[in-house]
Amino acid sequence: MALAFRGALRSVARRLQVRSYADAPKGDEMALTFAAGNKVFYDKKVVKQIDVPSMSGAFGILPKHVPTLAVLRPGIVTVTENDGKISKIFVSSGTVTVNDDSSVQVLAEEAHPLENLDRSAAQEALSKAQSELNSAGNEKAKAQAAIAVEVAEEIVKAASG
Amino acid sequence: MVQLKQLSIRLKSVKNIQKITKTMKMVSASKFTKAERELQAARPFGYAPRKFYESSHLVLGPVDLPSGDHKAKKTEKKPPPTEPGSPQTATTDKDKKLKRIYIAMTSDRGLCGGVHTGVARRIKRDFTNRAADGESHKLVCVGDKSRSILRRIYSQSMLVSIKDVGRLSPGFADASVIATVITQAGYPYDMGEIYYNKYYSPVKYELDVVPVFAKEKIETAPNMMAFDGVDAEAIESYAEWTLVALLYYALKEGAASEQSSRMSAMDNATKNADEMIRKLTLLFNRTRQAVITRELIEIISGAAALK
Repeated sequence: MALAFRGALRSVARRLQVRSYADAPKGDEMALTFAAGNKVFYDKKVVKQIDVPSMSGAFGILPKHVPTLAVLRPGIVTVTENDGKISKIFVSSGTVTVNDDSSVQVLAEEAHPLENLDRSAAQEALSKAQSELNSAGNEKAKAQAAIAVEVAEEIVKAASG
Repeated sequence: MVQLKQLSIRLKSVKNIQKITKTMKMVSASKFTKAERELQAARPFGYAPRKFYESSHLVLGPVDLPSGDHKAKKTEKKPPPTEPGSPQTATTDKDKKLKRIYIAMTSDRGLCGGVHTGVARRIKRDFTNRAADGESHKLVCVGDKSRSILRRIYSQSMLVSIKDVGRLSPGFADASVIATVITQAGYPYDMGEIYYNKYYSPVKYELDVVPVFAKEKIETAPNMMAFDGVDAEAIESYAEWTLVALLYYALKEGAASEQSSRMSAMDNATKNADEMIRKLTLLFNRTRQAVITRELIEIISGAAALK
């Protein structure tokens, strides 16, 4: 019963949104804000598509995507700009927000263009992180090392792929 | 008659102070250029969470106004009462019983005008206005300055204080540490308010408050129904990450305001010292002349008496 109620509410909310899209002057455009601690990549720039790796699986965002929240996992964010240019940016962690006005915000702790990644350095970091994971004493250190391993693995994968 | 020796000592000390203030001004000028550059990169970190708060109707009113339009921005803080029956009223009624934390973003260093006192004063005011439910409000002080101002009055409400911030330019890691400390303090807050100085131009900064909501508040946000496929775990991570992002943003804004304010404060101090030096030099020369004249009179009158 509660589920049905929730579903009904959601569909109402969606219908409301669709109407607001129609009213909005630039309803089918998607303004992307993409920033990391080191650099701003996009600032409210209109793009065609964004693919992000999230904790619940990678997904693509096109204009008029349903509003959602997600937490990024280490991986590659692919941005397709309006002129078809594709830029791939590696992110370590962060959040992605899709708002009901179709604007998208991607915030990352650290992000670097794919071409700036060095495979051998990443390999080194990976083996270091793995040895740290093996020698980690307590739960917290183990968790931290596991995250380091995950990030390093993803960097290696990204740099070699 | 002022003693000549005393005057010269005083003149010397003012000159030394002027050298110090001049140097401090130059140091903060170079720190300021760096802080301002880094602030540009941090601005989206403040914008994105607010944008989400707006679209989930946690905060009413537009957030992405041009930066010059700060007057209008002020209205975004408190959700204005809406028509009865809407979910918004429920939250405004509960506003009073909310467990709030006040996060004061200051630094350890003084000599920068009213940057720190402004933050503390505003917190005092808001705290007094909501004194009726003060029990559930806690203070988080980032930086020694706000702590030393606020601890006398609100020693009961102090949750945690963080120091050693602002010596170097703050980074994302600093924000993570602060967020961890706040989370581990074990106070189950509903919403926080970050008090920081928003930077506009080298001669202008203004106090601003940015809300940050905990997981439960986000889950029950009026427009959360519109958001699709979000599970509790994602919201929790999202809330934590948002806290870090907003803290990072506030740290950066605060750092830029502080350096700019210190720059102008030290500039003024140097100018004041200049004026003092001018006056003291004049007085010193006059006194010197008077001493010489007096000695001459003594010698001449002595010689005349011997004739």
